[in-house]
Amino acid sequence: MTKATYQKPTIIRHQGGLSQKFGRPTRRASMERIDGVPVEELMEKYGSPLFVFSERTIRERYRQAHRAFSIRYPKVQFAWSYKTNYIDAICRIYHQEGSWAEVVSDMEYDMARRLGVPGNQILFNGPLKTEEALRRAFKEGAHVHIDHYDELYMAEQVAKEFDEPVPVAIRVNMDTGIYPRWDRFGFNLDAGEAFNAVMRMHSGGKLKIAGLHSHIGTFILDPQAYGRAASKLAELAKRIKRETGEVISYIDLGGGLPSRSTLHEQYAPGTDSTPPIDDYAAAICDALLGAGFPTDELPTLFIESGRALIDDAGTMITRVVGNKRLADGRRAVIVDAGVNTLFTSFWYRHDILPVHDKGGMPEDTVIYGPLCMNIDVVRPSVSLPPLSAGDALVIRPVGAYNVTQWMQFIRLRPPVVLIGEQGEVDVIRRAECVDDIKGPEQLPERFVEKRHVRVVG
Amino acid sequence: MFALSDNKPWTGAGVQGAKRVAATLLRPYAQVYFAKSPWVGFLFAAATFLAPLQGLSGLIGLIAADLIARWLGQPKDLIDRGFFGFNGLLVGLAIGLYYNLTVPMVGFLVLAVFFSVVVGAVLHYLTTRYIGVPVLSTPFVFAVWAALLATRRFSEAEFALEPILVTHWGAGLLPAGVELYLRSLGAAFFQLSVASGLLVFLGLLIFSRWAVLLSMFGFAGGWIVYSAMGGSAVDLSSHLIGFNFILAAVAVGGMGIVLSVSSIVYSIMAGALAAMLAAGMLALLGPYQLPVLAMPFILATQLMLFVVMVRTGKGALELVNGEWETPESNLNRARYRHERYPDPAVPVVYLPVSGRWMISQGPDGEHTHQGAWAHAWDFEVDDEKGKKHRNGGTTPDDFYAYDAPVYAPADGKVVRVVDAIEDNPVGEVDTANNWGNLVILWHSGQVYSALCHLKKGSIAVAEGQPVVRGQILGKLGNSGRSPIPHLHYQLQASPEIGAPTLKGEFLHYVVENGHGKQYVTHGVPDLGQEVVPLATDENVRRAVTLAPGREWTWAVSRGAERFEETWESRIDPLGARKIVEKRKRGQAASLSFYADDAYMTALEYEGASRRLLGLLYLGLPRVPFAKDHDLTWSDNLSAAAFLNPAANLLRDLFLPVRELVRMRSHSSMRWAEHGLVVTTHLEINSDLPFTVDRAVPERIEVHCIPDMGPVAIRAYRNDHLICQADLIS
Repeated sequence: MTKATYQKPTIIRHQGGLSQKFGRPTRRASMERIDGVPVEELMEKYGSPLFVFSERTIRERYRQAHRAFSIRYPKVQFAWSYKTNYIDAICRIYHQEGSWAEVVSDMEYDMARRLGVPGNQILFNGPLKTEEALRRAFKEGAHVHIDHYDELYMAEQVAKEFDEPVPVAIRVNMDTGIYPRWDRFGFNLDAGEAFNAVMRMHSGGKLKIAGLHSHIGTFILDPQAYGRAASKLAELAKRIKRETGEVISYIDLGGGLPSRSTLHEQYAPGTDSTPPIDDYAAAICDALLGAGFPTDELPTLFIESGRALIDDAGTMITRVVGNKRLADGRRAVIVDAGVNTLFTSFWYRHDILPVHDKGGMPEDTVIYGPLCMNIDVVRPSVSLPPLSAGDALVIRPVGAYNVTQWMQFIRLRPPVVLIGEQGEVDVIRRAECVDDIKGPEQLPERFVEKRHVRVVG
Repeated sequence: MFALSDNKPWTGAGVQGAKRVAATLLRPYAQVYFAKSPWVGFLFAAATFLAPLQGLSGLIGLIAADLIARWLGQPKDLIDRGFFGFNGLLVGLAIGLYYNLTVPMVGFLVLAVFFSVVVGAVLHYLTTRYIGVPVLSTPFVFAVWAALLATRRFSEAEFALEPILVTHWGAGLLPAGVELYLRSLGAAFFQLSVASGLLVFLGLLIFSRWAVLLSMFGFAGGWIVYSAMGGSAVDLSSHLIGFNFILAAVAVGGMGIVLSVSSIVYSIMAGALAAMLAAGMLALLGPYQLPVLAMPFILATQLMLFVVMVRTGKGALELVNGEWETPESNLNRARYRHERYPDPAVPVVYLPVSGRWMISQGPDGEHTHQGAWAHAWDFEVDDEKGKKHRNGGTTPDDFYAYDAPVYAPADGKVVRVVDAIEDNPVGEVDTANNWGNLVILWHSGQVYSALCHLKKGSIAVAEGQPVVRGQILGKLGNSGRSPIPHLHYQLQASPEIGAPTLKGEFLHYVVENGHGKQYVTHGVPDLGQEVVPLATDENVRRAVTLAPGREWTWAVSRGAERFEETWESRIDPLGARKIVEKRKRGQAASLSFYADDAYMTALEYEGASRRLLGLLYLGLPRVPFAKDHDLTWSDNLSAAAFLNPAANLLRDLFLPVRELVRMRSHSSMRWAEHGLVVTTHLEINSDLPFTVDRAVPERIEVHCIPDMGPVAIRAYRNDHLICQADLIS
């Protein structure tokens, strides 16, 4: 029997229970367990805030997505987008499932190699690749996706050191009928730049075109945009075959598939408005199968999805630090996880749930983080029942980007745990300590304070 | 670091030449009893030289046949195999037995040999082209008959009336039956003595223990016919027709036909049949004063092989595929071919889908795959929780499998398309159009594929159109007798819709279950199995490729031994591939293998157990060029090359009824820092009471690098490194 939470007497408009045309405006939900493990037990053992990942969900989502593509297309290869979440244990799960690695920098490249991913299972994207990184990638057989002409020239220079022409892919951007139209990655297709780049490469003789890559945007809610991109790339591939004789061995449609999270600007919740991944798979696979490739020249389809696979698997546990009434009468709750750890708060209206619903009337609430910064707002408005300091909340989905884009600003970064398929809990990244932050620093000699040591005796 | 090269190169070309000449001369002797080894040939030759002049006559015949065949440009492999030589040898031995070797007679002998070469060349051409049974010693029989008939009109031919001294050597020492058996063995070389018979027996024993047993069975078979029917004892003891029983029994019992209990019965019948034919021919040829020679054996053998060749059912007997080795190795090869490779008589196709599919009904299924339609598969898609649909599963579209592409399982031609039947609502069936929308493909001969229950209007091919494997045919729907979306696939012998099914197998797929992913080269997926077509990776192919012409030189350290070993990858004109250990002297090891665009597999290892090449056989029994790195696969390997002599002897003797020493391999692979690592665990199950294996590790790792092939080999026993080899060039 828990005691009802004390609330300072306030007069607010009653919202609960009344239906309007979209149904009940508020819902009461709570979440006591993650994969069967009580949230409070996790918080007690590992503290708060705490990132919790579910191995079961990761594998389930991966297999779901892989199934959607692989039953529709005979040659499919997923590559795990490292930037979405590059904690070793997480990457390892994807590699175990058969994923290659998609990296966008030499740091990520090193991470993948460190984890034992062979070079020939790495897709190397990103607009900045150093000469040294290119050399290593070529040597190890990685799939390098060229982003711009200067990179192309540099790649040609490096390729001179090899006996055979080095196979590479180019990144291609195009109009797929969506807004915003991303045109910053790679060579533009509609203006003919992509084909020119291929011809440049072909006549240079140092590089060999092997693949086409595109990354049409992020959180794309229209599956047909991918269908159009796939058709356009297939056309380009056939033109390249026609004019240079080179067979394009793979077409990479990048990532950008949405998770079931809800963007700030979306009206309906993501769980309702995000199309199922099957729709994306059907659009892409139908476009490629219908493009008229000879059966033995059907390109392999690469998918670099990150967010759509991992987002649901990550949950954040946070603790209420205090309650507040703002000057305009709104209720505010301060929690111990802010935008420093939960970077995606800037993009999403995360689902925030109490661990126990102890009753009381739900009320629109601002959720503030612990930073001493005005921007530290986790949710500008979410309907929550009364909470008291120390209560646990869960925030979801937070699996994508947070553990790569988080900052140690003001506070240290929290630990990350993984719940295994048998319910076992392992720390996969421990909580940071001050030494982790101060370790790389060097204090010049002149700032070192001389301590006087008095010798006794 | 390595105490290298105890083998000094042979510098003298003369020594090499002498060895070659010796091999050329000895092989025809061995060939009389289907053997190849020069040692066996040497013993047989020794048997003929117990009557020196006759032996010389045989040798002259052999050399003459060889030279004439070369002069006439006959096929080199025939000459090398000793086909002309052994016929010439027999002509020489026969003429040496019947006539005194005068100068004109030597000339006449050469003429007879010439005739045998001509007859041999013609008959070999005709039989290989039109009949397919071996010529055996027919040229010799024709040549000797011709010579014997001709000499009646040639007065220079002097009959050898002097009894050959050695005929009685050793006579009477052994029981009569044994003596008769031994003399009959020798009679194949026109030797009449027990001593010669004993030498031939020794040679045969070296060649093959089973050949010896078969020779006894055949002899007994013929002898029983003779004694039971009250045949003349003179036929056996003086005409010495007994070798016909023996040769026929060995030829059909284990050389031309794979050794088995049935083949042993068949060999006894061959001996008996040869006896009957011999008696008949003695009666027929008697008036002409012609000996029957080897004709009963030839007739019995050719007929009995031919009748097995033209069988249409499986039958009790199986022909030996490829070159005849020994009864034991013919059987060994056939047994492991059955266990390891698809039956050539069963059509094989690839899975007609992509991704992971569940067999919801297999062959002899409980719903509809029964009777004449037993050999069929139903494919559905389910998720980890066993659910086949998202949402409520109330419309076909909710099902994962719906609208998935269906691919041609093999090359072929479209012979039938139905594309206008509506999809059923979930739970309903359309028994009026039982098979629904479908595509029927003709692959080859009487092999057709039917892919049924497709989606209306989805079919992407037209009747008469040729298709290649993997080409999209249409999309999966819910038409016909299909309550929920699924693909019905069957092989059939005719192009009609609903034709009875044909037994078939799928190639290259992966079975997924809770325990992992098992690669299957060929097999019949069963009810409830989750199957995925093998996705191949060019890099794996390049890593385990053993490209023809490539050479490897290894530094091997095995226990206290340090040695170097050099291999060369070879390909013959027919495309058969092997790796041969290059050695300056002695018996080199060889490993034959097969590779295509989906996998490689080691076929047979011949060589000493401690050579490094043997470890390659054990370490790379089979490698799918798989993209997935978490596959495992198993194989049954022949332990023959790795057993000690006692174990080998026992194993060989029991082989027709039971494999006493079973070796099973379990392999997996992974990409490591420096390339591909294939790890194979070996498991030996032996029925023998003593230790059987020599140098067989429990675990082998073969490290491969794309375009280089194997670069390092490690073998472990009880987790201790017992052999380590690294590529030095």
